[in-house]
Amino acid sequence: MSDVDLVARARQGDPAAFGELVERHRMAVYRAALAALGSHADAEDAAQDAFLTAFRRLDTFRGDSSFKTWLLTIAWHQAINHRRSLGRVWRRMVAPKDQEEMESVLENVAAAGPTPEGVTADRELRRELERAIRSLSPKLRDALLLAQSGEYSYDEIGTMLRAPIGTIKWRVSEARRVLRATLQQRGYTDVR
Amino acid sequence: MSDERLDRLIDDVAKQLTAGQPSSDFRARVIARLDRSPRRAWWASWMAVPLGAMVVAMIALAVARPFMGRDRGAGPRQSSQAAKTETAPAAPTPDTTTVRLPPSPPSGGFGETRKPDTTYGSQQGTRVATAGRRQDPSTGAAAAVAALAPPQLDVPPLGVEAIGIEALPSGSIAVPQLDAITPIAVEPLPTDVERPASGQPSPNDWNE
Repeated sequence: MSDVDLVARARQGDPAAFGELVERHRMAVYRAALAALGSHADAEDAAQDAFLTAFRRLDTFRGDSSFKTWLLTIAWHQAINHRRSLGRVWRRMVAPKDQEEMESVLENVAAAGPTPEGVTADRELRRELERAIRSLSPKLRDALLLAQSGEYSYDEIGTMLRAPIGTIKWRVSEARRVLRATLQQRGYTDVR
Repeated sequence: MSDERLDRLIDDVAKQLTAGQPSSDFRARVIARLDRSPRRAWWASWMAVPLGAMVVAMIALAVARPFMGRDRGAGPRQSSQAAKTETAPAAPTPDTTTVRLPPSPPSGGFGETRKPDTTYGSQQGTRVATAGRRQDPSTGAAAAVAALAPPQLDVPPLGVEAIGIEALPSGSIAVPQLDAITPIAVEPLPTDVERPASGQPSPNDWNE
Protein backbone atom coordinates (compact mmCIF):
# COMPACT_ATOMS: atom_id res chain seq x y z
CA MET A 1 0.00 0.00 0.00
CA SER A 2 1.38 3.41 -0.95
CA ASP A 3 1.98 6.29 1.43
CA VAL A 4 -0.87 8.21 -0.14
CA ASP A 5 -3.30 5.37 0.54
CA LEU A 6 -2.10 5.12 4.11
CA VAL A 7 -2.50 8.87 4.53
CA ALA A 8 -6.06 8.63 3.23
CA ARG A 9 -6.85 5.88 5.70
CA ALA A 10 -5.16 7.72 8.54
CA ARG A 11 -7.24 10.77 7.74
CA GLN A 12 -10.33 8.67 8.21
CA GLY A 13 -9.15 7.83 11.71
CA ASP A 14 -7.31 4.58 11.15
CA PRO A 15 -4.46 4.57 13.67
CA ALA A 16 -2.98 1.40 12.18
CA ALA A 17 -2.47 3.18 8.88
CA PHE A 18 -0.62 5.98 10.56
CA GLY A 19 1.36 3.41 12.54
CA GLU A 20 2.49 1.93 9.26
CA LEU A 21 3.61 5.36 8.10
CA VAL A 22 5.55 5.76 11.33
CA GLU A 23 7.22 2.42 10.79
CA ARG A 24 8.19 3.31 7.25
CA HIS A 25 9.68 6.69 7.93
CA ARG A 26 10.83 6.58 11.52
CA MET A 27 14.47 6.14 10.55
CA ALA A 28 14.52 9.09 8.16
CA VAL A 29 12.76 11.32 10.65
CA TYR A 30 14.93 10.22 13.51
CA ARG A 31 18.18 10.76 11.62
CA ALA A 32 17.12 14.20 10.48
CA ALA A 33 16.43 15.09 14.08
CA LEU A 34 19.74 13.58 15.11
CA ALA A 35 21.56 15.63 12.50
CA ALA A 36 19.98 18.78 13.86
CA LEU A 37 20.28 18.01 17.56
CA GLY A 38 23.30 15.75 17.95
CA SER A 39 21.72 13.91 20.85
CA HIS A 40 19.90 10.60 20.64
CA ALA A 41 17.48 11.43 23.44
CA ASP A 42 16.58 14.80 21.96
CA ALA A 43 16.30 13.27 18.51
CA GLU A 44 13.88 10.65 19.82
CA ASP A 45 11.69 13.32 21.40
CA ALA A 46 11.80 15.54 18.34
CA ALA A 47 10.99 12.63 16.03
CA GLN A 48 7.97 11.67 18.11
CA ASP A 49 6.82 15.27 18.16
CA ALA A 50 7.24 15.42 14.41
CA PHE A 51 4.99 12.42 13.89
CA LEU A 52 2.38 13.85 16.22
CA THR A 53 2.47 17.15 14.40
CA ALA A 54 2.21 15.38 11.08
CA PHE A 55 -0.80 13.42 12.29
CA ARG A 56 -2.56 16.61 13.38
CA ARG A 57 -1.77 18.26 10.06
CA LEU A 58 -2.65 15.36 7.82
CA ASP A 59 -5.45 17.40 6.32
CA THR A 60 -2.93 19.93 5.05
CA PHE A 61 -1.01 17.32 3.06
CA ARG A 62 -2.00 18.01 -0.52
CA GLY A 63 0.32 15.57 -2.21
CA ASP A 64 2.38 18.22 -3.99
CA SER A 65 5.47 16.43 -2.76
CA SER A 66 5.93 12.92 -1.45
CA PHE A 67 4.70 12.15 2.03
CA LYS A 68 8.27 11.51 3.10
CA THR A 69 9.41 14.95 1.96
CA TRP A 70 6.43 16.57 3.64
CA LEU A 71 7.12 14.63 6.82
CA LEU A 72 10.82 15.45 6.75
CA THR A 73 10.03 19.14 6.44
CA ILE A 74 7.91 18.93 9.56
CA ALA A 75 10.55 16.87 11.35
CA TRP A 76 13.29 19.29 10.48
CA HIS A 77 11.34 22.28 11.75
CA GLN A 78 10.49 20.39 14.89
CA ALA A 79 14.14 19.58 15.43
CA ILE A 80 15.21 23.14 14.78
CA ASN A 81 12.70 24.32 17.38
CA HIS A 82 14.27 21.89 19.83
CA ARG A 83 17.70 23.14 18.91
CA ARG A 84 16.74 26.71 19.62
CA SER A 85 16.14 25.79 23.19
CA LEU A 86 18.87 27.48 25.20
CA GLY A 87 19.57 24.45 27.37
CA ARG A 88 20.28 22.21 24.45
CA VAL A 89 22.50 24.77 22.84
CA TRP A 90 24.44 25.06 26.06
CA ARG A 91 24.85 21.30 26.37
CA ARG A 92 26.11 21.05 22.83
CA MET A 93 28.83 23.58 23.38
CA VAL A 94 32.11 21.76 23.42
CA ALA A 95 35.26 23.34 24.78
CA PRO A 96 37.92 23.26 22.06
CA LYS A 97 40.96 21.22 22.80
CA ASP A 98 44.27 22.88 23.36
CA GLN A 99 46.35 23.50 20.30
CA GLU A 100 49.23 21.49 21.69
CA GLU A 101 47.06 18.49 22.35
CA MET A 102 45.68 18.67 18.84
CA GLU A 103 49.13 18.89 17.34
CA SER A 104 50.28 15.83 19.22
CA VAL A 105 47.23 13.98 17.98
CA LEU A 106 47.97 14.92 14.42
CA GLU A 107 51.61 13.91 14.76
CA ASN A 108 50.45 10.48 15.77
CA VAL A 109 47.99 10.40 12.90
CA ALA A 110 50.79 11.14 10.45
CA ALA A 111 52.39 7.91 11.52
CA ALA A 112 49.12 6.06 11.66
CA GLY A 113 49.20 2.47 10.59
CA PRO A 114 48.09 -0.87 11.76
CA THR A 115 49.93 -0.44 15.04
CA PRO A 116 47.93 0.07 18.23
CA GLU A 117 49.31 3.61 18.42
CA GLY A 118 48.07 4.29 14.94
CA VAL A 119 44.62 3.00 15.75
CA THR A 120 44.50 5.18 18.82
CA ALA A 121 45.64 8.18 16.83
CA ASP A 122 43.00 7.54 14.20
CA ARG A 123 40.37 7.40 16.90
CA GLU A 124 41.64 10.69 18.28
CA LEU A 125 41.51 12.28 14.87
CA ARG A 126 37.96 11.11 14.42
CA ARG A 127 37.09 12.65 17.74
CA GLU A 128 38.69 15.93 16.74
CA LEU A 129 36.95 15.82 13.40
CA GLU A 130 33.66 15.26 15.16
CA ARG A 131 34.28 18.34 17.27
CA ALA A 132 35.24 20.31 14.19
CA ILE A 133 32.03 19.26 12.48
CA ARG A 134 30.00 20.29 15.48
CA SER A 135 31.71 23.67 15.50
CA LEU A 136 30.81 24.33 11.87
CA SER A 137 28.20 26.94 11.16
CA PRO A 138 24.71 25.43 11.33
CA LYS A 139 24.10 25.82 7.61
CA LEU A 140 27.26 23.97 6.61
CA ARG A 141 26.90 21.36 9.33
CA ASP A 142 23.27 20.60 8.58
CA ALA A 143 23.94 20.19 4.87
CA LEU A 144 26.97 17.97 5.47
CA LEU A 145 25.31 15.72 8.02
CA LEU A 146 22.09 15.32 6.05
CA ALA A 147 24.00 14.61 2.86
CA GLN A 148 26.29 12.06 4.47
CA SER A 149 23.59 10.29 6.41
CA GLY A 150 22.62 8.46 3.25
CA GLU A 151 18.92 8.79 4.02
CA TYR A 152 18.01 11.75 1.85
CA SER A 153 18.36 12.93 -1.70
CA TYR A 154 19.66 16.42 -2.38
CA ASP A 155 16.14 17.30 -3.42
CA GLU A 156 14.80 16.30 -0.03
CA ILE A 157 17.60 18.12 1.75
CA GLY A 158 16.87 21.22 -0.29
CA THR A 159 13.21 21.05 0.70
CA MET A 160 14.07 20.55 4.35
CA LEU A 161 16.58 23.38 4.46
CA ARG A 162 14.57 25.54 2.07
CA ALA A 163 17.49 26.04 -0.27
CA PRO A 164 18.17 25.13 -3.90
CA ILE A 165 20.01 21.91 -4.64
CA GLY A 166 23.02 23.85 -5.93
CA THR A 167 23.25 25.70 -2.65
CA ILE A 168 23.11 22.45 -0.72
CA LYS A 169 25.91 20.96 -2.80
CA TRP A 170 28.00 24.07 -2.32
CA ARG A 171 27.46 23.92 1.44
CA VAL A 172 28.61 20.31 1.58
CA SER A 173 31.68 21.15 -0.43
CA GLU A 174 32.37 24.23 1.66
CA ALA A 175 31.98 22.23 4.87
CA ARG A 176 34.65 19.82 3.68
CA ARG A 177 36.95 22.70 2.76
CA VAL A 178 36.48 24.35 6.14
CA LEU A 179 37.16 21.09 7.95
CA ARG A 180 40.34 20.55 5.98
CA ALA A 181 41.43 24.11 6.70
CA THR A 182 40.66 23.65 10.36
CA LEU A 183 42.85 20.57 10.55
CA GLN A 184 45.58 22.35 8.65
CA GLN A 185 45.36 25.28 11.02
CA ARG A 186 45.79 22.91 13.90
CA GLY A 187 49.04 21.57 12.54
CA TYR A 188 48.17 18.85 10.10
CA THR A 189 50.37 20.00 7.23
CA ASP A 190 49.51 17.23 4.80
CA VAL A 191 46.13 18.81 4.22
CA ARG A 192 46.21 21.07 1.20
CA MET B 1 47.14 11.95 4.62
CA SER B 2 45.75 12.77 1.19
CA ASP B 3 42.74 14.94 0.57
CA GLU B 4 40.90 11.95 -0.71
CA ARG B 5 41.45 10.00 2.44
CA LEU B 6 40.60 13.01 4.58
CA ASP B 7 37.37 13.54 2.66
CA ARG B 8 36.53 9.92 3.19
CA LEU B 9 37.26 10.34 6.87
CA ILE B 10 35.04 13.44 7.01
CA ASP B 11 32.22 11.61 5.29
CA ASP B 12 32.68 8.66 7.57
CA VAL B 13 32.59 10.77 10.73
CA ALA B 14 29.60 12.73 9.45
CA LYS B 15 27.75 9.51 8.74
CA GLN B 16 28.65 8.26 12.17
CA LEU B 17 27.17 11.40 13.72
CA THR B 18 23.80 10.68 12.14
CA ALA B 19 23.96 6.93 12.67
CA GLY B 20 21.65 5.38 15.14
CA GLN B 21 18.15 4.09 15.41
CA PRO B 22 15.12 5.17 17.29
CA SER B 23 14.06 3.00 20.17
CA SER B 24 12.41 -0.30 19.33
CA ASP B 25 9.10 0.83 20.79
CA PHE B 26 9.17 4.09 18.86
CA ARG B 27 6.01 3.27 16.91
CA ALA B 28 4.14 2.21 20.03
CA ARG B 29 5.15 5.42 21.78
CA VAL B 30 3.94 7.57 18.93
CA ILE B 31 0.64 5.71 18.73
CA ALA B 32 0.23 5.99 22.50
CA ARG B 33 0.78 9.72 22.30
CA LEU B 34 -1.68 9.90 19.43
CA ASP B 35 -4.29 8.26 21.61
CA ARG B 36 -3.67 10.73 24.38
CA SER B 37 -3.48 13.73 22.14
CA PRO B 38 -7.09 13.86 20.86
CA ARG B 39 -8.43 13.54 24.37
CA ARG B 40 -6.29 16.42 25.44
CA ALA B 41 -7.43 18.45 22.47
CA TRP B 42 -11.07 17.64 23.21
CA TRP B 43 -10.54 18.54 26.83
CA ALA B 44 -8.85 21.76 25.87
CA SER B 45 -11.51 22.85 23.46
CA TRP B 46 -14.68 21.72 25.24
CA MET B 47 -13.78 21.87 28.86
CA ALA B 48 -11.17 24.54 29.26
CA VAL B 49 -13.34 27.31 27.86
CA PRO B 50 -16.38 26.68 30.09
CA LEU B 51 -14.10 26.10 33.04
CA GLY B 52 -12.33 29.35 32.36
CA ALA B 53 -15.65 31.17 32.08
CA MET B 54 -16.77 29.58 35.33
CA VAL B 55 -13.61 30.68 37.09
CA VAL B 56 -14.06 34.21 35.80
CA ALA B 57 -17.68 34.21 36.94
CA MET B 58 -16.72 32.96 40.38
CA ILE B 59 -14.06 35.63 40.72
CA ALA B 60 -16.55 38.30 39.65
CA LEU B 61 -19.08 36.90 42.12
CA ALA B 62 -16.52 36.92 44.92
CA VAL B 63 -15.63 40.52 44.17
CA ALA B 64 -19.25 41.69 43.91
CA ARG B 65 -20.56 39.63 46.81
CA PRO B 66 -20.12 42.26 49.57
CA PHE B 67 -22.04 44.82 47.55
CA MET B 68 -24.73 42.40 46.46
CA GLY B 69 -25.16 41.11 50.01
CA ARG B 70 -26.05 44.55 51.32
CA ASP B 71 -28.67 45.19 48.71
CA ARG B 72 -30.16 41.72 48.73
CA GLY B 73 -30.05 41.51 52.49
CA ALA B 74 -33.04 43.78 52.81
CA GLY B 75 -34.86 42.43 49.76
CA PRO B 76 -35.68 38.88 50.83
CA ARG B 77 -36.48 39.96 54.34
CA GLN B 78 -38.77 42.52 52.85
CA SER B 79 -40.56 40.05 50.65
CA SER B 80 -40.84 37.48 53.40
CA GLN B 81 -42.29 40.08 55.65
CA ALA B 82 -44.74 41.05 52.96
CA ALA B 83 -45.70 37.42 52.60
CA LYS B 84 -46.30 37.25 56.29
CA THR B 85 -48.50 40.29 55.95
CA GLU B 86 -50.51 38.59 53.23
CA THR B 87 -50.96 35.37 55.16
CA ALA B 88 -51.86 37.10 58.40
CA PRO B 89 -53.74 40.28 57.53
CA ALA B 90 -55.06 40.70 61.04
CA ALA B 91 -51.64 41.48 62.44
CA PRO B 92 -50.92 45.19 62.50
CA THR B 93 -47.75 44.96 60.53
CA PRO B 94 -46.54 48.25 59.07
CA ASP B 95 -46.48 48.35 55.31
CA THR B 96 -42.79 48.69 54.66
CA THR B 97 -43.14 48.93 50.92
CA THR B 98 -44.63 52.38 51.09
CA VAL B 99 -42.71 53.81 53.99
CA ARG B 100 -41.08 57.05 53.10
CA LEU B 101 -38.39 58.91 54.90
CA PRO B 102 -39.44 61.95 56.90
CA PRO B 103 -37.85 65.11 55.59
CA SER B 104 -34.51 65.47 57.29
CA PRO B 105 -33.02 68.84 58.21
CA PRO B 106 -30.54 70.15 55.69
CA SER B 107 -27.41 69.49 57.68
CA GLY B 108 -25.20 69.05 54.57
CA GLY B 109 -23.45 66.13 56.09
CA PHE B 110 -22.34 63.10 54.18
CA GLY B 111 -25.18 60.84 53.33
CA GLU B 112 -27.90 63.34 54.02
CA THR B 113 -30.62 63.97 51.52
CA ARG B 114 -30.90 67.69 51.17
CA LYS B 115 -33.34 68.16 48.36
CA PRO B 116 -35.30 65.79 46.29
CA ASP B 117 -34.13 65.53 42.73
CA THR B 118 -37.02 66.35 40.51
CA THR B 119 -35.21 65.31 37.37
CA TYR B 120 -35.34 61.64 38.20
CA GLY B 121 -38.58 61.56 40.06
CA SER B 122 -39.41 57.90 39.60
CA GLN B 123 -35.94 56.79 40.59
CA GLN B 124 -36.00 59.13 43.54
CA GLY B 125 -39.20 57.59 44.73
CA THR B 126 -37.70 54.16 44.53
CA ARG B 127 -34.58 55.33 46.32
CA VAL B 128 -36.57 56.93 49.10
CA ALA B 129 -38.64 53.83 49.43
CA THR B 130 -35.51 51.74 49.63
CA ALA B 131 -34.05 54.11 52.19
CA GLY B 132 -37.29 53.79 54.08
CA ARG B 133 -36.81 50.07 54.19
CA ARG B 134 -33.29 50.62 55.44
CA GLN B 135 -34.67 52.75 58.27
CA ASP B 136 -36.44 49.71 59.61
CA PRO B 137 -35.11 49.05 63.12
CA SER B 138 -34.74 45.36 62.32
CA THR B 139 -32.26 46.20 59.61
CA GLY B 140 -29.73 48.30 61.45
CA ALA B 141 -26.94 47.40 59.11
CA ALA B 142 -28.98 48.46 56.10
CA ALA B 143 -29.67 51.77 57.76
CA ALA B 144 -26.00 52.28 58.35
CA VAL B 145 -25.38 51.59 54.71
CA ALA B 146 -28.12 54.00 53.73
CA ALA B 147 -26.46 56.65 55.83
CA LEU B 148 -23.36 56.21 53.71
CA ALA B 149 -25.24 57.01 50.53
CA PRO B 150 -23.82 60.01 48.65
CA PRO B 151 -25.60 63.30 49.12
CA GLN B 152 -28.10 64.41 46.57
CA LEU B 153 -26.73 66.99 44.22
CA ASP B 154 -28.46 70.32 44.43
CA VAL B 155 -28.17 71.68 40.95
CA PRO B 156 -29.74 75.09 40.45
CA PRO B 157 -31.55 75.45 37.16
CA LEU B 158 -29.51 77.01 34.45
CA GLY B 159 -30.94 80.34 33.38
CA VAL B 160 -30.75 80.21 29.66
CA GLU B 161 -32.30 83.06 27.86
CA ALA B 162 -33.52 82.86 24.35
CA ILE B 163 -31.14 84.32 21.86
CA GLY B 164 -32.74 87.15 19.97
CA ILE B 165 -32.28 86.85 16.27
CA GLU B 166 -32.91 89.93 14.27
CA ALA B 167 -34.80 89.51 11.11
CA LEU B 168 -32.67 89.68 8.04
CA PRO B 169 -33.53 92.29 5.42
CA SER B 170 -35.79 90.65 2.98
CA GLY B 171 -34.99 92.95 0.07
CA SER B 172 -34.16 91.43 -3.25
CA ILE B 173 -30.53 90.96 -4.07
CA ALA B 174 -30.17 93.02 -7.17
CA VAL B 175 -26.87 92.88 -8.99
CA PRO B 176 -26.27 95.90 -11.20
CA GLN B 177 -25.46 95.16 -14.79
CA LEU B 178 -21.74 95.49 -15.46
CA ASP B 179 -20.38 97.50 -18.32
CA ALA B 180 -19.50 95.58 -21.40
CA ILE B 181 -15.76 95.11 -21.95
CA THR B 182 -14.58 96.66 -25.10
CA PRO B 183 -11.92 94.67 -27.00
CA ILE B 184 -8.37 96.00 -26.84
CA ALA B 185 -6.66 96.34 -30.14
CA VAL B 186 -3.14 94.94 -30.11
CA GLU B 187 -0.71 95.93 -32.78
CA PRO B 188 2.24 93.71 -33.72
CA LEU B 189 5.62 94.93 -32.47
CA PRO B 190 8.29 95.94 -34.94
CA THR B 191 10.92 93.22 -35.48
CA ASP B 192 13.91 95.48 -36.20
CA VAL B 193 14.41 96.87 -32.73
CA GLU B 194 17.93 98.03 -32.05
CA ARG B 195 19.85 96.14 -29.38
CA PRO B 196 21.77 98.06 -26.74
CA ALA B 197 25.48 98.45 -27.32
CA SER B 198 26.45 96.55 -24.16
CA GLY B 199 25.13 93.32 -25.61
CA GLN B 200 22.73 92.86 -22.74
CA PRO B 201 19.25 91.82 -23.82
CA SER B 202 16.74 94.57 -23.79
CA PRO B 203 13.30 94.09 -22.27
CA ASN B 204 11.98 93.81 -25.79
CA ASP B 205 14.06 90.72 -26.35
CA TRP B 206 12.09 88.78 -23.76
CA ASN B 207 8.90 89.73 -25.53
CA GLU B 208 10.04 88.43 -28.87
